[in-house]
Amino acid sequence: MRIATFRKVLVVVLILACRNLWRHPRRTLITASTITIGLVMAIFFIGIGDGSHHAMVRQSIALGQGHITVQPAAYFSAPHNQLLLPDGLALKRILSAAVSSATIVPRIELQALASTAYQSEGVQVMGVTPEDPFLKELTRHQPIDGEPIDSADAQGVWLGTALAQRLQVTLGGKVVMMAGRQGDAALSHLVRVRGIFQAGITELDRYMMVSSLIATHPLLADPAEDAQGSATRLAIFLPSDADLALAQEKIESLVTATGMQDTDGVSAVVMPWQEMMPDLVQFIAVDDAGNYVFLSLIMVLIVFGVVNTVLMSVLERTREFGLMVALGLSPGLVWLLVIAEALLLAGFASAIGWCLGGLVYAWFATQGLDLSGLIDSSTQVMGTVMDPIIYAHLSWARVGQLTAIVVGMTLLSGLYPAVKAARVSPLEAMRR
Amino acid sequence: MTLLQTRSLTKCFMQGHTEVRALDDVSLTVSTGEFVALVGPSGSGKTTLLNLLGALDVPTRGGVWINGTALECLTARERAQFRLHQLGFVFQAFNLVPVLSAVENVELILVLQGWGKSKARQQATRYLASVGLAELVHRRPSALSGGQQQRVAVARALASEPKLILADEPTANLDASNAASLLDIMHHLCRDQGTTFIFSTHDNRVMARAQRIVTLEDGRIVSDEKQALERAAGVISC
Repeated sequence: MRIATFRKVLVVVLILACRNLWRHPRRTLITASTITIGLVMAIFFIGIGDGSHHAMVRQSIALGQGHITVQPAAYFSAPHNQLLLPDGLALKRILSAAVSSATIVPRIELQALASTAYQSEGVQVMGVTPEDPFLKELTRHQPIDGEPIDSADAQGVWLGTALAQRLQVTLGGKVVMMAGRQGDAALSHLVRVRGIFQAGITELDRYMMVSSLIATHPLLADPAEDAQGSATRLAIFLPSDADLALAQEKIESLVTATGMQDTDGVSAVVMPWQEMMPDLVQFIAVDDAGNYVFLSLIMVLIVFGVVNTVLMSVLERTREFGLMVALGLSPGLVWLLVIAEALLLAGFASAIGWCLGGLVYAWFATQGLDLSGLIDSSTQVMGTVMDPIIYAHLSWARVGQLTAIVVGMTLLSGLYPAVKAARVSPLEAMRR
Repeated sequence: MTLLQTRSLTKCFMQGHTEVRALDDVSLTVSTGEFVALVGPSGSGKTTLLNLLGALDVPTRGGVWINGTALECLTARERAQFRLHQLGFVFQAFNLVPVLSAVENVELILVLQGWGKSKARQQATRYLASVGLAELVHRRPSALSGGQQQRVAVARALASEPKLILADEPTANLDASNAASLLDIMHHLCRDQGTTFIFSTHDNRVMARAQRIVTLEDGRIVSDEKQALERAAGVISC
């Protein structure tokens, strides 16, 4: 069949399919409602699931190492205090100039012993700059008690409430920091408590001590000037998650071009957040699997609804299909007619589903789903604080995926009836 | 000029373990422009013969040649194409697609054949007018009487101007007046356009108007009589 003829025939097939659907408007509407309700439920549950994952990822990126991290190659598997990027700040300037849309912050991370007159505790020291998004996320739930971080403050530290209690120290109190060096004497540094925070995350409130970058230098080298320009890692924050792949590629090429090496003489590595937080990625995958099981149940509902309707409609029209085949319609066109009916049904139901689901989504994306009766503000999941109000979130990819699943399942449901219709023998059918 | 030829056409069916011979060694030749009635009692093989001539069924033995094409050599798809382009059908009942209007029913075949939309609409309207349905072109089958529906089917069969039209008891569900009117139309088209009609019937009044009457009994041709088309047409005017 020539393309022009096929196009004309396709129009006829679509007209026939449309009219066939409206032959029994009530039946069509009931089936469409099944698909619509299924889609709305999928939009709601997947939206809420993705929303909670999105919030976890956003928080983990902010409290963690950003969308992308540049760090010594061995740091991820075996971190230690002297494993640094000696020219970390110079690299930061190069990357900031090349990827201007990103926020790039240097960090120095140390394992240290914090001692007061009363108590000693092992702590994680994180030297940051005041513009680090980590600080904003750290104080999102509760403002810092004390002074804000000052990049010129070489003797100030900020620590969590639980750590302050364990060290029995208050604002203005003295803390001695000690950090070990491989094959050498430990370094120590006297600091004062400038602020106390409550992030609501156990690991941060009990073990985290935050300071300016220069406040960490005495624990890295002796004299401290030797540590100028060093960073344990660079945390890179992107304006959008969608920029990740492109930005990673660009940063990798820049890091390679600079020949940046760590203190062990090994080239620095560029890692996206998925590689930095494999546990979180796995948790989301497992949680998503649960959502997919639920989605599958919804799809089964849709499949049964559509198969029932389309099959009934095909069986009712056996004579009609027989007539069409007798007149010269090829079995392929009869198949196409039934598939077109299923597709139109899916398209119609999906359009209504997205209109209604879109409203539901818009509501829960802006107002959120308040689960404060079930979870309190200190509930933690995978090292993040679970917000009791979950805001629905769907990416365009997810919108496409849900639509494709619904349309695909409807199409699949139409396959058996379509094959049955295409196999109608005109003689048998016309005898009925 | 020979349009259709069958040679030793035989069709057997199995009924349980018994073989039933619906057609037995039927050889028939029909020329272009003939108006042929297939007559005979129920079960004589009229519909089976029409089905074989219309490429709706395949013979157990023997063959059918229409316009030089051996139907038994065609695949199912090719048979569908052959029916679409070479034949016109009028069935006893349930002739039309219910969701299409009269004109759309006629157009359907034309569009499938590749006609342009406006040309197909023009042709369909012309043929509907020729069967006296100019005013009813936009009505759906459910809004047409049985006679009007059969006339739409005739218009559809004729619109693509096939060489051969097969009709299976086209007047069976019509009253005498509608049956006469439908036969008038078929007769005129046969005479004016040279279209060949082969139709089955039980009705003596219809037989009287055929140019050639082929009588079947127990799957065999028992008589094959011809009468002048003018004479047959004369009966119409009586």
